[in-house]
Amino acid sequence: MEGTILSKIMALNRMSIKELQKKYEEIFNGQRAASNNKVYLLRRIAYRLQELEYGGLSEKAQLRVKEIMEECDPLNKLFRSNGNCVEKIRASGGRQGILRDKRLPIPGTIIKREYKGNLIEVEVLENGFQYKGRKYGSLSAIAKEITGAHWNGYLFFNL
Amino acid sequence: MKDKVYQEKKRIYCAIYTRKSTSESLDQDFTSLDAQREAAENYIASQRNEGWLVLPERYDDGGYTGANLERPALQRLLSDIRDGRVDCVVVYKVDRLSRSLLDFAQLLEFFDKHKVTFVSVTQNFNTNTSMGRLTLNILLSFAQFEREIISERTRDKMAAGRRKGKWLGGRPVLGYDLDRENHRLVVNEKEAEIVREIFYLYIKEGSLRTVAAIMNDKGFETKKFVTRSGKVLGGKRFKIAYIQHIIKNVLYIGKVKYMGQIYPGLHEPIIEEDIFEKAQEILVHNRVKRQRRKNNKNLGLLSHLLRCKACNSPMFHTYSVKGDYNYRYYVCLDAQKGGYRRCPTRAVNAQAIEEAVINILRKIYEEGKAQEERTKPIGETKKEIKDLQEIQYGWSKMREDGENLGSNRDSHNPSIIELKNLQGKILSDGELMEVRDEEEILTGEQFREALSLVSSLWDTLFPEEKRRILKLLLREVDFDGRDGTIGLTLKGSRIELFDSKINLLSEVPLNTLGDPKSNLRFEFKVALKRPRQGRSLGKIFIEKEPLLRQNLVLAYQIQELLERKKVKNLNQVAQWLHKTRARVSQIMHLLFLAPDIQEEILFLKKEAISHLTEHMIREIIKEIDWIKQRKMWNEIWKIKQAQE
Repeated sequence: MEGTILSKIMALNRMSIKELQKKYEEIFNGQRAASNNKVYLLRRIAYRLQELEYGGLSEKAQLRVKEIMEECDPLNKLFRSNGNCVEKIRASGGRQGILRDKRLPIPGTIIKREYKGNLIEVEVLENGFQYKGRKYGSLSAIAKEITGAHWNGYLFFNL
Repeated sequence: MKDKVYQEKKRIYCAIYTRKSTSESLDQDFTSLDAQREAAENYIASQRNEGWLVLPERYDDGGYTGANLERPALQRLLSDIRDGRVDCVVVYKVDRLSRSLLDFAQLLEFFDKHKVTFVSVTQNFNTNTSMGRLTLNILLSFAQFEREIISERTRDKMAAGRRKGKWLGGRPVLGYDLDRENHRLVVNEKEAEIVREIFYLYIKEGSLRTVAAIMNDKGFETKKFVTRSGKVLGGKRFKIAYIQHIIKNVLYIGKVKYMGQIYPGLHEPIIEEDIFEKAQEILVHNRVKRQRRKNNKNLGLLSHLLRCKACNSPMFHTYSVKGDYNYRYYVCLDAQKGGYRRCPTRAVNAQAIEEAVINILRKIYEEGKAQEERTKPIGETKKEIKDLQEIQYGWSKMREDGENLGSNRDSHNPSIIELKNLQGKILSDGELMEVRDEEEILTGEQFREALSLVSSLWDTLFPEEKRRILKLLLREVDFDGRDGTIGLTLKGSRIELFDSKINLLSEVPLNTLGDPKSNLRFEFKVALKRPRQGRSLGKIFIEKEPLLRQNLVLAYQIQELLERKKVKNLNQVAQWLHKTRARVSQIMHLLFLAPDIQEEILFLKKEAISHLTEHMIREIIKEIDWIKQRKMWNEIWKIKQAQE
């Protein structure tokens, strides 16, 4: 068994990038490879092959990852602490990344809040927010939409 | 009925005062004095239905001036008033009593003090009427005006003296003695040498505290002097403030300061001007502009209670902030002000010592309780337990009710009333804290009740209440940093607190001092650990994960973003996180670790993997084959074990 996996991996070395991408799609359930980097593709495929053979990260470990994500959230910690977040949003998009409010998490995060029994989920975008499929410029606008009263968005969403 | 009212009307005894400044025609039969008296008698007679009666004594001053009070009859009148024999003073005219406004005001004040009214027959001046009181007030204003003029004159004189460089009193300063006769400062050579050394040291060390510490080490003391009332002041250890006062004092360069202005003085300087200037420069340079005041309102539990035993000085509560942590301390005041070197205690972790004190109190309570149980009949004990449970129930209920302490329905429940009383007691005693000298000592029963709070409901109390209860229980807590001994001095005596047949002290395995009549003092030896504390801002303190684990989770988070197509590529991630693209790749490569290695990184104890760096496992990541990865991983652990 071991031999077959190793030989499979060795065989990857001889493939072209196109072939590797095809292989990638094949073993990642139709997901398209996001990269054209041969080494990266090779490593991902090799890892996946072994994962299929020996099994991947246990469920317990996956839960642990989730737990640490919740508790310490390294991504947002890093995102907010890099010194380029400011207290107030600078409205105009910057040349080199946008200066964002310090309280906002990284784009792609979903902010959740329960209001009068309904669960509200707002996604943070790079330049605004998405709620019920619509784009909003500010959290306050969403809060006003939900409650009907003016409400500071950061406070409403406990940021 | 009318008669009765008349009968009950208070009798008012009126003294008639007459005066005449010249003694010329006094030998005549009917003099001016008689005329004055007659007019007054008539007036009193007209007020008879008010209960006015003439006193037979004659207060006649013939040939005395009204400019002062040195008159025999007047002095006699005043002493009679003092004895309470007179209710009303009647004169012919106001100026008969006094011609000096000041004296007059003083007389009126004297009358007022002895509840004596003052009536002038021909001038409508009666302190019973509003018009009379108005006149009185005008006169008083004048008197006050005169007084103020005097004080202004004095102040001007002082200012002039200062401008001329004279020493005009105040606390004697180190380095000079006061020549009381000439109001001059004379250099005291011995002390001047100390002052010079202080300046020299300050310029050398640039720190007030260091100077204070060195001076104290050398055994010097602050200026000792005796006040006029015989109080001895000074002769103490140097503290920061005293040193600062010396450094700032222009007296030492032979000048005097008055209202912010500096004038040349009449005394000899001790310090040369350039040295003084240099010291001022350092002072200004060292000044710290604090951005935020420390929160001294929320004091520690043991504030005003804890003392440093070695220095016999209070320890105050303070804190420092580092990152997300608040470090609370109790610091020895003497050490803070006079140098840390001499104090063995210096600072002690606040949480640790607070916990230690509470634990000791609990121990005392439990020991006492256990002994009571042993000596009491069983039935009584059971009842007590039931009572206690009821109180606890009531307490928790009351907590829920929150503010509704005064609502009526509670009063049906006797245990709650009891509890309310107790709380009332505590509250009122809390107010006593303001008056520091006043101390109420609880009876043994009350004391035990308060002690039981420490034992059972402590964690549910607000800090404010906790502080109050500790204040009720404890007179003093002392801590000795040399051997870590905590001493608790309880309020109240042994006999009061515990029945005589129950001897708590013999049972508790502690070292106790003092005779039974005095305060109870317990001594404990403790080893204070120094726990880390989270910031107390309502945030739950989250333990920091090791960096390697954080980065692994970070890699998963980034991967999730990629999968959910929230980011285009790693370039964008790098931009967002302000990391280089290469660094992001490094982090992402952690995902190439074999699952079992990842699991170990995720689950092993913090201490176990804290030595692991990303650098160490970079070689492993380069390997594609999991089995080989595993071997390399084990190598790392072997190396670590060998090192240990």
